[in-house]
Amino acid sequence: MSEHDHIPDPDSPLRDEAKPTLPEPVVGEAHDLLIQGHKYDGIREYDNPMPGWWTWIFIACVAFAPVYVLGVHVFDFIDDYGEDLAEAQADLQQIREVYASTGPSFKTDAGALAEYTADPLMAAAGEANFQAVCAACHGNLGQGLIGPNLADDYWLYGAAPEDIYQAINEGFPAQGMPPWQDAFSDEERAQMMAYVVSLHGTDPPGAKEPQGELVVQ
Amino acid sequence: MADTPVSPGATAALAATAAPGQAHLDVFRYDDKIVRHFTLATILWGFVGMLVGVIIALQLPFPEANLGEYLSFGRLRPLHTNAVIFAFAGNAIFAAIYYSTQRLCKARMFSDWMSRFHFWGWQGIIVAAAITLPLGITTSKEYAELEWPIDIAITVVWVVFAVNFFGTLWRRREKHMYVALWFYIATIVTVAVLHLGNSMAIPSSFWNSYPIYRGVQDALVQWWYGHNAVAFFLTTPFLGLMYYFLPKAAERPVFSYRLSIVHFWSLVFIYIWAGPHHLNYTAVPEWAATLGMVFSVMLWMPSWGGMINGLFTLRGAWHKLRDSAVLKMFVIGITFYGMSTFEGPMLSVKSVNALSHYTDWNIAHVHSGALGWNGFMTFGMIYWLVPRLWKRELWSQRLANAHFWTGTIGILLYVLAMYTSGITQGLMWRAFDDAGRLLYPDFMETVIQIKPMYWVRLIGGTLYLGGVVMLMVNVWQTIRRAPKDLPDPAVAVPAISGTPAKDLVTS
Amino acid sequence: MFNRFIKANGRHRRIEGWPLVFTVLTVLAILVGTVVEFAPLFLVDQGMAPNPGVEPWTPLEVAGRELYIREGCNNCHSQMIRPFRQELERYGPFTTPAETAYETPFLWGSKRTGPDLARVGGKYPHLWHVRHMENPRSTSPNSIMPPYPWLLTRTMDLDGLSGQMRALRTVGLPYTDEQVDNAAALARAQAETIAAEIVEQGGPDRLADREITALVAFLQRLGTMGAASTAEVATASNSGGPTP
Repeated sequence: MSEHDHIPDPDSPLRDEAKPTLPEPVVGEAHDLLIQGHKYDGIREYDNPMPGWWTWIFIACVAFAPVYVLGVHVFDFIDDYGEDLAEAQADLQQIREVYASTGPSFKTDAGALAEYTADPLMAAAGEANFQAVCAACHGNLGQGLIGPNLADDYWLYGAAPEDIYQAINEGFPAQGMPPWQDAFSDEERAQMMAYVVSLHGTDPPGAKEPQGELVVQ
Repeated sequence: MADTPVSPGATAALAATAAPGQAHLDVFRYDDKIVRHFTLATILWGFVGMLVGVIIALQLPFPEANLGEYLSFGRLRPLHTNAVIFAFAGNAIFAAIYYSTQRLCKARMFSDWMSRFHFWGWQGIIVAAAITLPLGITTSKEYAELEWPIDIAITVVWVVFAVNFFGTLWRRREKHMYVALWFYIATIVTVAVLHLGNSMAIPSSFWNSYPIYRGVQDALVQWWYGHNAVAFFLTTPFLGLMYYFLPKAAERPVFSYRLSIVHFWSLVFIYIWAGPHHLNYTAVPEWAATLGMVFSVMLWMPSWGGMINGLFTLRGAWHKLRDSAVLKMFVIGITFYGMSTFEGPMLSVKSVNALSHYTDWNIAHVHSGALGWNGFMTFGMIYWLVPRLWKRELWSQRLANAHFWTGTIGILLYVLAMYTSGITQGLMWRAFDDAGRLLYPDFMETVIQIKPMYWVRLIGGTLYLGGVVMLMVNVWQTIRRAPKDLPDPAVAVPAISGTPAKDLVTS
Repeated sequence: MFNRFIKANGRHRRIEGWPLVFTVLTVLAILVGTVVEFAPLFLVDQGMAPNPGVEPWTPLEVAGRELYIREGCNNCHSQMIRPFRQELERYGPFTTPAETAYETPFLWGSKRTGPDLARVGGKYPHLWHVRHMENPRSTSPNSIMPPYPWLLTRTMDLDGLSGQMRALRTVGLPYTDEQVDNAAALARAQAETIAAEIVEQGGPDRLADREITALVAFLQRLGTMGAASTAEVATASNSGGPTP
């Protein structure tokens, strides 16, 4: 009776409890020796050692810890937050300088901007970015929401292509309009400008009341 | 040290037949009714918590599913996490602890009154959470959202639970404590410390309070709590559950006692340090994040010690998997435990964390833990327990197998979708073009990109919930056919002199 | 030595027979890491001194912060900019400990389903926020944020505000008696100003006593104090990001 921890209950509906619950101990092998006296509700335990790979990876992880802590905070052979950031910023600065000196040159003088407004392909190319960032305040048709109506004849800061281009570049932070010159390339901003110009006179539904000066074109 | 299950009528006779000179036999009954209570509560709240999960998974790609004030994402998400962690997993670990502790201690629970108080108190707390969170009553601290009156109730219930548990240890008829009990001890004391430490607040009214910590202190305390809620609510009690139910179901000895000792103590000692890895690169001092990271790395093998002791215990029993949905679920649960405890240390490494943090990668990680490890360990336990608790064969093994496969496919869809989404968005956030500008300056571009993955996640989650519905049907059909009268099983074990036995059967 | 401890009938076996000793050892094991990580932060008060220029929330902002918490905004929006160049470009200077010294509870968040909000203050006009809360897709097409139209219709509840300010003072926010006692009146005055600005921007009238105004006050405050003034942040973020 003491060999097994469970005496099967003849009334049990459970088949598996009618079976002997434990295998006999393996004798004569290094592994899988059952430990005498370790019996808990029928559960027994083997006296196996910990797997070697487990022990060694654990030791390696523990050894890594002081190396990393000292490397970051004492001996400085691993970058900390500040060093990481400084390096990344320097990289970025270099990318920008290289681009400025070798990248495609795109004319943004008043004459060039005026030419872009005459090119329907430029305006069409600007629509997606307009919808992504400008439409939130100026409406998806440029009818004006929080920001002014862009389709009427009234302008707060000038209606010339270079005025609009500058507005997109620098924004009006005090009025809540962010600058976009770091988010979009010169060409993308010129396309957005061309798109804004193309909205003129479209008389969209729900147009906001005029703001600024009447500009006759 | 044999114990003898005895039929109800024979108890008095058994006690009387113990001959003079022989060891005196104590005859007593296990309290299985309380385990039935916790088991049913586990299933019910599991369904509710996961249903809320599916609803909020729908709300993400389809915001029209935010139906008004009380059912919008920001209020339902804490309800989902609380329901799954504290209601589903909570009731599951209580069922496991109440069933196995009595048998490992060879004693009835210390106090029936405390057991009932624990059960109904905990369900009351869950109901209070389910009412207050949709009302917007929240502290905002993750997994500790409940306001101070409920926190006090949790403290009271937990203390009663602890007294009941340690009282049972005190009255045990087994000299030594099995490894499952070690993990239960770690759970009970640490959760108490964490809960008290993180909930310290000054009330401004009955439903509002402010933590006594501010800024970086509050952040550090919160993630000491948050990470160790994972450790001591979702890991240690489930390891205890595994150490009891897996060898029982496989009918195999535990692989290595020595590994049990080493991985228990290293896990308990190291886990508590790992919290600040949730705050890598934030305003907490970098040394704290460094400690969080290196201790997370050291935690890898202690966690895998549990996985090894689980999987290697099945050596010589792998053939049983074919017929046993219980063992299949345990194996997939332990496998997910191994995967997510490798992933956790990896995610805590600063350079990986720089990409993964704030993205869906974390969502994938916690769900491989919660659905894979906690979910399947719980389901395996329930399928093993229900026939024993209700004295009736499981209604359908085929349905249990269908649950296994549906749930497994569900998890895989879920985590693959969230890995894809998390890595995609993480890479898009950091991408620069060759002019040195952000490639995706508009946040919305990164949202549009991952939206399809939200639909895939919804399908995965729905499949997993479908598995839970199969569990409900199977358990319901089993219980319906069970005998009406379910007396607590009586057992006879040799008495240990000096043990204050108060659970003896007298009639 | 170690093997003697863990072998089949070694020393550990004895502890397994003593639940009290076992429990005490477990508590000690979890307290070591806890104490080592907390002690410096609490004893030295590291990072807990606010920068000059960091003021605690105004009463209306406290009310707005409560709404932010009630609606669970922190589930999807972080308020913690990390020291990465891509975050400086996208969100602005990284967050410093001193900026968050008055935050209780902290609202750093853990997930960016939507963008970080640590420096959203001043980025958009009030009216943008009003429309965005009413229907996020009206200002951000393709947004997956839930709408919060009730914020525009529900009246601000300022009854508990003095109590909240008092509790905040207990945990260390330097409020004067006047601010605590007149919290509701101060909040109403600030709400009037914001509501007037909303009207000026072409927004709806009569929002002065609505919840949305408190939330706007809180959002417009985020990241506007303390950070930009410190030299440390200025050097670390001299990239000239697109947004303030």
